[in-house]
Amino acid sequence: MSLADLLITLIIWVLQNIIFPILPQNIPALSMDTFNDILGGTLKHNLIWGLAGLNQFIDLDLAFILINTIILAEIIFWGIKAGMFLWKSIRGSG
Amino acid sequence: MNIFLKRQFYALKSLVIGFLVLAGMLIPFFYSIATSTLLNDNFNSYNNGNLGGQGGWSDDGGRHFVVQDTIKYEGLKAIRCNANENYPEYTGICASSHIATGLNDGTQVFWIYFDSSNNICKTTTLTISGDWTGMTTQFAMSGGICKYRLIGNYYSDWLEWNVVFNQWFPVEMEWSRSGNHFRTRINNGSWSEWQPLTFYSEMYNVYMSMSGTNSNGFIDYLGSFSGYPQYGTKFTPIYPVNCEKNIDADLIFDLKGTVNIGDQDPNNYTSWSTHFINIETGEIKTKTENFEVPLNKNNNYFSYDYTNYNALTSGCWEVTYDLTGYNPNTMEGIVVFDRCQEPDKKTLICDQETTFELPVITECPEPEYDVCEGLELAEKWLCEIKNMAKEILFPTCPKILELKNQINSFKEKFPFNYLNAIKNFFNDIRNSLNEEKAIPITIFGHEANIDFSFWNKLGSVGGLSETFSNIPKDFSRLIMIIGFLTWLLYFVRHFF
Repeated sequence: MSLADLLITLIIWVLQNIIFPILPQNIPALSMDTFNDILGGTLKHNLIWGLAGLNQFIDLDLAFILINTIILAEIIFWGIKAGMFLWKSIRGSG
Repeated sequence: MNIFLKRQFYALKSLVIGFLVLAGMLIPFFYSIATSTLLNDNFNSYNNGNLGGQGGWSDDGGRHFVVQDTIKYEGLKAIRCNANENYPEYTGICASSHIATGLNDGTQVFWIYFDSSNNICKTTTLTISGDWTGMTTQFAMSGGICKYRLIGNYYSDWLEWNVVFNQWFPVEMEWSRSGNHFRTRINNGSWSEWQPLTFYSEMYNVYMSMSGTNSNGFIDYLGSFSGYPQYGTKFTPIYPVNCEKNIDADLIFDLKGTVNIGDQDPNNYTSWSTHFINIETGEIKTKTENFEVPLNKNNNYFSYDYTNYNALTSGCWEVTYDLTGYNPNTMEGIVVFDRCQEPDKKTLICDQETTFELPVITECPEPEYDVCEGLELAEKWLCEIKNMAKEILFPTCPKILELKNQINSFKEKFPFNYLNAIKNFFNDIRNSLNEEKAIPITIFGHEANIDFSFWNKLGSVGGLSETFSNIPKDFSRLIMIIGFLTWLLYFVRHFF
């Protein structure tokens, strides 16, 4: 077993025992199944039809790429802030 | 007590920071393993005919490859250069090129097929180039044998390879600007020696040409080393041991995942074998069936009836299965419904259902050790120390796979699964929008379509030939980019 293997074992241990247990699969208010049903149901179909005309005038492809980027960046930033808040709470002010 | 706790916190903090630093050092290492691919293209969405003008491909002075759907490595289509490919001033010659996003270090795979009844390969040139320079892998007949050579700063000798005709094989090219070199591997053989190559820029152009009037040639699937479809050579599910007395029922197989045209291994047809092993005598009876791909996507079931399989009329038999030539990139698994009865045409009752997940095939990188033989004493020590360091620092294949699996598990956890769902939602809308050409409406009971096709007609705008749709679209793009930059400025301010 190489040094890199040991390091990977350590990372996997941290992932399995510290990170994965605290990450839920579903959030109580909106389960993944419900969320998927909402997104994949009539909402998507109606949006496609509604936006089909708009697509002739506006580059919706670019719009969606930018919206995706903004949502992702804001959520990651929110996650970092939440992590820092937790860390500060544990550490205390001293 | 308070001081003791603080010390513990600081010790823990140091440990966490140390771990993060180590992990941070390791992450670039893992990323460095996977070198980027210059161009990905499978030609599947192109129209049959001239490749030039489709998907960013250009002709070379009228010479071009032809998109066709008869012989292909994967998917629906590949490109060909037939012996009688005829252009105004050329016969049997094809050439096409494509500009991609440049890479200093990169890889490129081409799948090639030489169609020949007399073992003659077409002179084939595969070139990756940048400014003023390029690297080429070239096939040609030399001394009556199909050989290849590498062209960088110099021409290599003509080299022999594991020649195959009427069969697809990969040509893999890899280059490094920092090392000023490139190399090639043909048909999963050994890598060639690194060839010197002076770089003046990133490599960004892919050029392919074929010539020769004695044979046909085909190219398909330009992509990455591990990205091309890899087919399982053999997968034997571990089936629960059964002692079947007089097997008298259908076996039904349900392919899980998406099964498309091209999912079968072109060189080793996808097949499903059922082996019956006689427990008392060890005798093996095998029934092999080829998949009829494409299967109907909505009904991936297929069944074999062994009721009249006379070989099994007596004795006690165990059952095992083999699946060969499957595509693990799209097929996820297989379900076997065992001992099924069909009391009437609408009902099917099975005693047993077993799901087999297909193993995922992943290539692992291997460390490249320096050759220390023949070096002087100090240099030899240094060389051996370097090799030893590589051995210590290079992770083993199972560990890499284990880590990849763990990282993949993140996709199933909040918030990544929700983010993925949102991403897929927007992507689905984007893809569906591209298909919409007209909006159906109903006015006073009459149905009609609002057709926007006039937007795509060309007109002269400021002396330039433009489609009408480009004017509002460009304007909207400008507004969106300004809006995005405004958000970016606001976002970056969080950190300062």
